[in-house]
Amino acid sequence: MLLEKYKPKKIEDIIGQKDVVIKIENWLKKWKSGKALLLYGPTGSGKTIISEIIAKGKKLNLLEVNTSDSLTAFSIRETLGSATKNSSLLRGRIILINDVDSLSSADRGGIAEIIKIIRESSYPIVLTADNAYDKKLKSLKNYCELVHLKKIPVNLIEKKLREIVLKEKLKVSSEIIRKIAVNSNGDIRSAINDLEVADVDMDYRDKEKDIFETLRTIFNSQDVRTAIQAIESCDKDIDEIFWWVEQNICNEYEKPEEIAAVFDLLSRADLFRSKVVINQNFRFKKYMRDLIAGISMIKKKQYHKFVMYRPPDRLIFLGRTKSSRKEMGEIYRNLGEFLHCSKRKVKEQLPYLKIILGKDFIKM
Amino acid sequence: MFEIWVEKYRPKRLNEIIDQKHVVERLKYFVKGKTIPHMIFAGPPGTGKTCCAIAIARELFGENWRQNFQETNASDMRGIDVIRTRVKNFSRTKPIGSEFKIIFLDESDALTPDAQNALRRLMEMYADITRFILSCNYSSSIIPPIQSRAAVFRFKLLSKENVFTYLERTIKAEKLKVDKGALEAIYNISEGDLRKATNILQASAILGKKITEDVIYEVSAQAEPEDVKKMISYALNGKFLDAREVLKELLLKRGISGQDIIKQISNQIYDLEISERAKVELIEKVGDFESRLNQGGNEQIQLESLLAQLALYKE
Repeated sequence: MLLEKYKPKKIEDIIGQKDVVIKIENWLKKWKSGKALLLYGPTGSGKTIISEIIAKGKKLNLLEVNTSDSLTAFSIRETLGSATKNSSLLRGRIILINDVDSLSSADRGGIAEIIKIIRESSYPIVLTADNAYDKKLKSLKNYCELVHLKKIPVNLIEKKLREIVLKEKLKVSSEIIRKIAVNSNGDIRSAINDLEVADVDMDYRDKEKDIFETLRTIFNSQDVRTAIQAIESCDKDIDEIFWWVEQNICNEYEKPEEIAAVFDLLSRADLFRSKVVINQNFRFKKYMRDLIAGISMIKKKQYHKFVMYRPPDRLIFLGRTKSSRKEMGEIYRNLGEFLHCSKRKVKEQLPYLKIILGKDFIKM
Repeated sequence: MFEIWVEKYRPKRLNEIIDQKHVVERLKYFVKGKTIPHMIFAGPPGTGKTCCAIAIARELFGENWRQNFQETNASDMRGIDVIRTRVKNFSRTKPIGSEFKIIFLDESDALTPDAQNALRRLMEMYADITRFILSCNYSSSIIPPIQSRAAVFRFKLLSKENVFTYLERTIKAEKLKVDKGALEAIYNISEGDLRKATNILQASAILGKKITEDVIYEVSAQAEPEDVKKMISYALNGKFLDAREVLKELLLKRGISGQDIIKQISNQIYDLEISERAKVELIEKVGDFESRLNQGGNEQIQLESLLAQLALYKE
């Protein structure tokens, strides 16, 4: 996977952010207990990777805590409590807490505990966040020095992509490279992933650009109306968008509560869809759309894995089996007529009917 | 066409109907008088509702009974349009060689209130030449104006003896050897549903003329995949993605019905290693999702949502 192969391993590999690296190193040199470092900036700008590389370069032990872990006061204390106490066995250590602005309501007392740890820790603590001005971080900021990572410039991204294309002998044109760099919006990780897909199927990437954008917006928007607009302006209709969301949702959310909440929205959106069919009332499509857009409000954070969107299994499968399913539909109907019952009841009896009819069933 | 015992041994005359004496006596009385009112047949599946409707038609209309009898499934054709077109058209046509025709509406619980209102108009307008028989699981899902215009007949769940009596006919005719344990097993699995019981019997007979309890469970195991157990187990262990994969395989590839899957999930809840209170909560959730399926919810998404809920109850 390109992303793994071209992951920066030394400071020299880091793209852009040279000034940030200097700031972090200076901070470490002058570090005194009581204050942490808060790195903030858009996804893919390098917050986590830079911290990891610096720690490695200085031969410091790195202890990392992520949002996929529980971040309640209790868990933090458990994970980090002893880690922050001085240990003669270690030459030195850095503690890295990722995505502090994504603490959910289930992570009770998390921020307060982090503050406590910052004040008492024997080792430097680095925090990362997308947005330093999130309300949750108000009190935390009093204990932090802030360093801002800007979006990586398009030209630097483009340069790196060209390097990779050359080295890997990829079949990607200059034009596409430029397009990917621009589209990435400063996120070098997504750019490299796009490159990998572009090599495989350029057509696909272009064709599906619209729905990819729509999905991105639905999953990342800060407000529902933006998400609704994205759905409205997408070239696919709401029923298809529904299945694209269903397919890709599990890459966006990890916590069981989040997944349950998201599927609850989808389940209710589906009920509105069926009301449209049953009552022939298209007003219900609006509710279907709004519930799907509402997914953007289920709290989630960019988890540290880039998301590649896939087309819905279901539509691929249904497309592939369309003719055979049509035949099955015919079979259900015929059997239903013969057995004086509905297609649904035929389906329920199907396992037995298959046995009973045996070869005749296959012949059908 | 096909030799399916459910059809081959379906009672053709009111005399042959199993039990439901209360209902059958009155129906015989109507047939003697050569007229029937609008009727509602309410009761569990496989207890004789469709049989009675067809038997009445046969006894009233003779050999060409199909000409004056239209069967429609509300679950296959759900919308109000079907009432306004297909059902209406048949209501309006003149009966052939008889004073009236019969329209049989199966699974009427699936009709929306709107569709039922349209239906009620038809029942009023064409009452002289068309009689309606509505079949459903619960008469409470039929709107009151229709209930007041029809005679309601309740079909009871069949007892073990009833089921055995009915199966004996088939067993004798097909010269099968079925032991007592097997009959018990069929009754337990079918829960009084004669259609299901007959299918189990026939599927078992394919495996050999001598039918024992083991054969019955083997046949039913084929119809009730282990995979559902696996799927539930994944969900309860927080492996939602894996559970979802199994579900998609069952629904999309194997064509197992969502209703079937949900029935099995609800059967398995009590065996789970979770608190009693959690079991009750889960049963309620399962019921909720089964009702969503009945409302026309998509099987895949509703079951996925149920699995996501299950994942909150780590085992």
